[in-house]
Amino acid sequence: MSLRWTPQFKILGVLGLFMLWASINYSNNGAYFVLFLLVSTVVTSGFMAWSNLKYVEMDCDTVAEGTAGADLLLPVRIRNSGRRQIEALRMDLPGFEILESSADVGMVAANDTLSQRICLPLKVRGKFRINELIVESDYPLGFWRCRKRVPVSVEVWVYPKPEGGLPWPEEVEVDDDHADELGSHSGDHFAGHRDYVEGESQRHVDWRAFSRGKGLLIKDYRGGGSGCAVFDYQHVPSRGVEQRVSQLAEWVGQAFLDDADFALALPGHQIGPARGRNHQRTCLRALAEFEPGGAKT
Amino acid sequence: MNWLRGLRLPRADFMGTFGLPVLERSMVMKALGCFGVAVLPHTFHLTPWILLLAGIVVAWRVASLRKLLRLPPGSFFAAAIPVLVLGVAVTYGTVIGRDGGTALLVGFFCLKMLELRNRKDFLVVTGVSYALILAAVLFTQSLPMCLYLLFQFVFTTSCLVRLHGRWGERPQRTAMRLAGSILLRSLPLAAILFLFFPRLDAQLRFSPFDPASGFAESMSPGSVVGATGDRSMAFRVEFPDGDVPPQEDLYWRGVVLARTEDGMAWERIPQGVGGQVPRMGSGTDFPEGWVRYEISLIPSFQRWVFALDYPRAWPSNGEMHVGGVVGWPYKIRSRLKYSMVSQPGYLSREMTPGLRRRYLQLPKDSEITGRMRDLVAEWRRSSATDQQVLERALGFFREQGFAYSFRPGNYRRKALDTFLFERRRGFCEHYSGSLATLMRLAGIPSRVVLGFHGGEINPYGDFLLVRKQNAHSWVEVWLDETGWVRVDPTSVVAPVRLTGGFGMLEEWLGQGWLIQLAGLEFELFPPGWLPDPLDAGLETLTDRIDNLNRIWDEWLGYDFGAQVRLMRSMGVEQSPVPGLLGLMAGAGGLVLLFLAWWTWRGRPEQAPEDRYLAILCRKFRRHGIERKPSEGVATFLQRIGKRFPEKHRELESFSRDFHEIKFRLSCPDRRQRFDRIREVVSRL
Repeated sequence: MSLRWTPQFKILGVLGLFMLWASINYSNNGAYFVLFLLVSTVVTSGFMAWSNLKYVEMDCDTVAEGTAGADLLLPVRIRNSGRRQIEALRMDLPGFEILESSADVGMVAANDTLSQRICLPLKVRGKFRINELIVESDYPLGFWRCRKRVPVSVEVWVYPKPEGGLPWPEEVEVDDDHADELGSHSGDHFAGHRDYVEGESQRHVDWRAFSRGKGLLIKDYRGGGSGCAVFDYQHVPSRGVEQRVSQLAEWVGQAFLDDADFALALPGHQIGPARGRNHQRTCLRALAEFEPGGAKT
Repeated sequence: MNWLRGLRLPRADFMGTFGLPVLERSMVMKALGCFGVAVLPHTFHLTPWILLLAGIVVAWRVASLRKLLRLPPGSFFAAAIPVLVLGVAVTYGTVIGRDGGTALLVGFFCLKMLELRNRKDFLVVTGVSYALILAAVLFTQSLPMCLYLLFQFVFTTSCLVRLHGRWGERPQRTAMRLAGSILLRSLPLAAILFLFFPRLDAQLRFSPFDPASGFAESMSPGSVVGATGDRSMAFRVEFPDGDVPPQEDLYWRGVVLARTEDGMAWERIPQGVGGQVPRMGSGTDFPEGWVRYEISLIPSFQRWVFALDYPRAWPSNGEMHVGGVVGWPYKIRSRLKYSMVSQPGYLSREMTPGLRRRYLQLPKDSEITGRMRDLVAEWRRSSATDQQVLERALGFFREQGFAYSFRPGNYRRKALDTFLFERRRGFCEHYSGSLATLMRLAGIPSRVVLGFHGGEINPYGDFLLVRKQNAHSWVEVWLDETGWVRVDPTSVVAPVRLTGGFGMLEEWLGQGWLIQLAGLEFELFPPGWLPDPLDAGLETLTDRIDNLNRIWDEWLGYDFGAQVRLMRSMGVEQSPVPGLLGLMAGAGGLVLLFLAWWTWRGRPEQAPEDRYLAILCRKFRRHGIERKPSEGVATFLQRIGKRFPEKHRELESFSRDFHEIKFRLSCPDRRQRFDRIREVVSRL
């Protein structure tokens, strides 16, 4: 924990010097007492600011995920293990910009736990690490700001913003070894849509098409081979790195929603083919960390 | 994500200048309260236009809160600030120092209230409020005022607590309670700083910006009587030997005025040391009839002190000036307590040719009319001695229809002539000024003495209280046979002024208290407004309050000498300043260590409700029921209730009371609930 004076303290210090001058100049004991009472109040409020944060404890999840261009909501649990309520708490994350209104925690009742969602506007993709949470307060009088640092270890994955309107890449055949990994499919090559028949499994319903108002359609896979889409960085028509990465993220997202098999090929290595949430997360993390020169953030 | 969008949308509405959040309505109201509480103690001395400005500001601000008026634009302040500074400079003659500085501060405070929009502005409001507390004690340190200022301190602090605690809806009394607790915690350190911070003021003598409202060194019609509404203390006198002279002998000599231009307005001529009155050391035995006394004087901002007529012994740092004025080596800017010895009835024989010329100086020729010369010439013709001339003059005032009046109207052209031959209404300045001039016309040296007369004996504290309303002026006339003789023409016109003190004079004139508020004079409590028993009760109460003020003043009179005495009594024999600084650092350090220990000490004891819960858990553990780490209290109690249905009701009562005490912010019947919990736990 640390205690620092605020700009308000410095301004009051100047006022205090004027007050001292007036007290000396008029030899006025009343003025001296007012000055000393003010000085003591400021000093005492420092101790109170300290004891306000004395019983704060904090923790949060170890992993957080978000997408560049959107806001990440990081849930933080704040516990007050003391007998007095804690007033005017404010959160801070060093190195991160926090939405002002979400940083304001306010009051935590005695022996209570509060869950605060800190909103971090995410701007660039990458992998970041939060090593400490800071809670601070200038309660009660604002002359001192008390800060408490709680060490944590949070991985923050900021995935590329999925965007880009390029067509789906050609699917390729995969060998049997990979086909085993992919699991069962009646057909592996997406061939189009057909109407949903009542009683049929909803597994292959195209929910995205449904959301666009096209009704319930089934994604039809044909062919007995084990075909899958390979999202290759090198084959994305030449644009900037970020546009390429965004396009790949868009395809990864679509493939996940379509429950399709896909592989992500980045210079030097390939992920997959596979499907499912874990595979999608692996690909997105690779894209988040991707650097054209091979260096990772 | 929608909830976040909701937070972002009103950003444009609640963000004000410099991107700081606009104050909520309740905080603006608090700032208005802070403003009112801070300005109130200054209404007694501020010029009316500043008070009018304050009233307009409050009305404007309230109207803006009700959306009836808009707040002024920035250009308004650019124009208002120079006007304000100019106005204060013209009214007070300065914009610094106690009077002008306070007026300017209040003026800026008014403008700031119109500019109040965000937290930063609110902080300025509280800062100015603290500064105005200090400004208020520069004007008066009476006990009621100090109590009020303590309230103002707590109120201002509570506003800071509200601001930083973001206490939107919580009641003000909660903030006041917390502010009061901060004050109580601060008192020990404040007391240590107060006791040991070296009072070096008398030695340092900073360039002063002294107020204009100290005791005057000149007299003009209205200057003395202007204090008639001021019941505040001028000085307090204690007579260690218990001999209080009779009321008619209580002439408290201040300064001697010798020069006049028109016969009515008089001023002091700077006079050097060299009074011929023999100086005597204090602490010796004095002849019979001499009076020993101690005066506690409020800051007079002059280099002389008051003494009972006629001073014969004075403190070692005082010195006797020409005219029987006791000079002081520095301006008296703080309360001063000093011992004196006087000899009532003593006639000074201090006269030299130079002094005679000075005390015979006449007003301008244009002010001396033929009637005046004829009158004096007639007195001189019909009198053999100066004494007889003086008696003729007093007879003139006694027999020619002169009257004492608080409101004689303004005397403008030929003031002396108009007073003597036409209007014949006046108060002590008129009578003393005119008699001294007439004596000089008759060739008799004379001078005007400015001081106080009378005082009220306080039976509870055995002291004499001289109020500012006791201000008085009289004349001293040189008679070759006897020396300087005190003559009070006012007593000839209004004898009760001499014997009954000022209170009786008010009654005699049929006039109540005149009080001054914002430069205007109001009459309060006309004589007889209270039935006699209540009047006596009020008098007793007033005496008791005056006595309390005396005790309070003893504290306020704490000075460098008292600090050194305190230091010696604690066994510190070092030189004063390092010794005091050492004591301040040592005692202050101890207080800080205690505060630190209090703050850092271990985890507080278990809350009482938790203690009872722990007892309950222990009791049921014996029956094999253990509370799981993640189990809530209600669930746990329900589980016990299922196992022991006969205890269901008690467990339910415990659960209800426990949750009420623990989780409700305000639990009015907390004590009863604790009693119930205790009872349930003991029964279980």
